[in-house]
Amino acid sequence: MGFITETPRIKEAVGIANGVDEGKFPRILSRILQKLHLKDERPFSVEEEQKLQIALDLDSSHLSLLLETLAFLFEQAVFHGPKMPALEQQLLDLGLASPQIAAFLQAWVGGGRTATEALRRRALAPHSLQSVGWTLGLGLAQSCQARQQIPTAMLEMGIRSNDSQSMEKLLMEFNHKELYELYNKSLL
Amino acid sequence: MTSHSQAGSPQGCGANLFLGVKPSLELQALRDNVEGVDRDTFRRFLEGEVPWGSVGYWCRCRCRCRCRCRCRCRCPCPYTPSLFTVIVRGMEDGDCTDLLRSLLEVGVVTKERVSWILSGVYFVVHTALRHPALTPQVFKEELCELGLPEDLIADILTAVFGQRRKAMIAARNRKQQPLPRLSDCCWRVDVAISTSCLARALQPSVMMNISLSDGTERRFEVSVNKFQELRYNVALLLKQMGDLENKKILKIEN
Repeated sequence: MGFITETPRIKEAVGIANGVDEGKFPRILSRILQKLHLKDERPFSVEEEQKLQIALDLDSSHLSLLLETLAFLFEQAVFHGPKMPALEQQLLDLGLASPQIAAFLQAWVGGGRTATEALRRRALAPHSLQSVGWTLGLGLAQSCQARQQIPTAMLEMGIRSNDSQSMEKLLMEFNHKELYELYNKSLL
Repeated sequence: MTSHSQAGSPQGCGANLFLGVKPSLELQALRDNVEGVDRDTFRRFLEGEVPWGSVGYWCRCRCRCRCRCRCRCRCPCPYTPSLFTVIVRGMEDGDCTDLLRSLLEVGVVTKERVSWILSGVYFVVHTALRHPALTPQVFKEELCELGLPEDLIADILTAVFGQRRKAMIAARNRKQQPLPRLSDCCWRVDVAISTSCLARALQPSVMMNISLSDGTERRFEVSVNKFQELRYNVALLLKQMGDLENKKILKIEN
């Protein structure tokens, strides 16, 4: 019993894949795998898709179906994490031809682990910490205080919003005692 | 008028706080305006009092507060606050509008003269608090050189070196923090067992909620790698700060 249920659309896409030139198939697969973890980005740009249509002799709806189905097969492989024989058997059951199966498995061996790790690290939280920067200074005087020697640290946290990809910089100031409390209570 | 030299000052704290080539506008105005006020009126400014003819005066709302300008009923205070009550309240809280209004409404001396005296004394107190190593003796000598009356000098010394000194310095330091400070950091460790992308994810992550002193609150996720990076940077910063504090140059006394 495989982990992918065959549907009419998958069957149609497999038929299209079996007709694709064997020389071009591996590069298409590796590009799809590279871009698998990116949510809103398609594996190929509009211009590249137009060139692919000409090269593979497919119209736009057939090409979209092919690319989406291949991406779906990779996503299912990432989700279930099957061993190589099980994956090969699943592709055989779907009706994919041998050269295409070999190209798929080759691409999976090359980029499967990277894609799995990238998807594993994908966070659902709206904001995430991206960067940490700091400055250490010595306060020697202020307008209200002359002759002081107070080491002051400034910590900058870069927080990225997952929706808009904008980065917010959060600046904080610490003296020695406050920094030690932060380290002891929260980071140790 | 004798002038202090920095080398001659025993405490080496940099005397000549106020004297210089040319005294500042506030000091000149303070000297001129204090000379023009008679002694009795000046004592009223320094000490504060109940208004004339109001012995046994109670607050209009009958709350019997008589609590030296911290009236809970918010009626206009029956007391004339002292000069130093206004100054100390201004330095601690930042807002002394009600007290200032009461002081200016005394009416025996013009508002302009009161304003110059108040700003001059505020300048003296502020400058004295700015120098941490200033001693009462050196400060008194400086004020005598300025030519201020002795009762005013005594009250200035009490204000600067008295019980409210720590509170005034703490309030002033709070106002001078240009960047916000961390007021609270809450965290939680989550382990994602399964996600829509992976059946067996087992990916730990930290959720942090940071509150800053200016009211900003941020909640964000920290991956394991980024958490280690944050921890490393804070530890390195602590070490650098400790090394800086141990450097010999910081051990030289003022």
